[in-house]
Amino acid sequence: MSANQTGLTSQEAREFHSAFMTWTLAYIAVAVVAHVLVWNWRPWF
Amino acid sequence: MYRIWLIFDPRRIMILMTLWLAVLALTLHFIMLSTAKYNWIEGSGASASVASAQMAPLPPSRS
Repeated sequence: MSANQTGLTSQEAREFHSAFMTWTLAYIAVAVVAHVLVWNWRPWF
Repeated sequence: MYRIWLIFDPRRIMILMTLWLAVLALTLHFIMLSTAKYNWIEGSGASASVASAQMAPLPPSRS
């Protein structure tokens, strides 16, 4: 089973991965802000 | 870590993640709406009790 089954080169995989991680962290940051706002509105513990 | 994209096709993963996150977000928002405490539309709890406190009962009529 060769490592490359998606037709991407290692360089392309690296580029995609860095963008994927950036956007994932951005998504998490928005989620953290949302949870902080909800906590200030009505804490759940 | 980036080698994962040599195995899983990025396009399919992105579509699946979008669908999954949408379903998850809808589910959680509706669960929140189904609770009394976190129903931001009905607004029960703090804001509602303030409104009801201001409506004082009528004094008894003299007739």
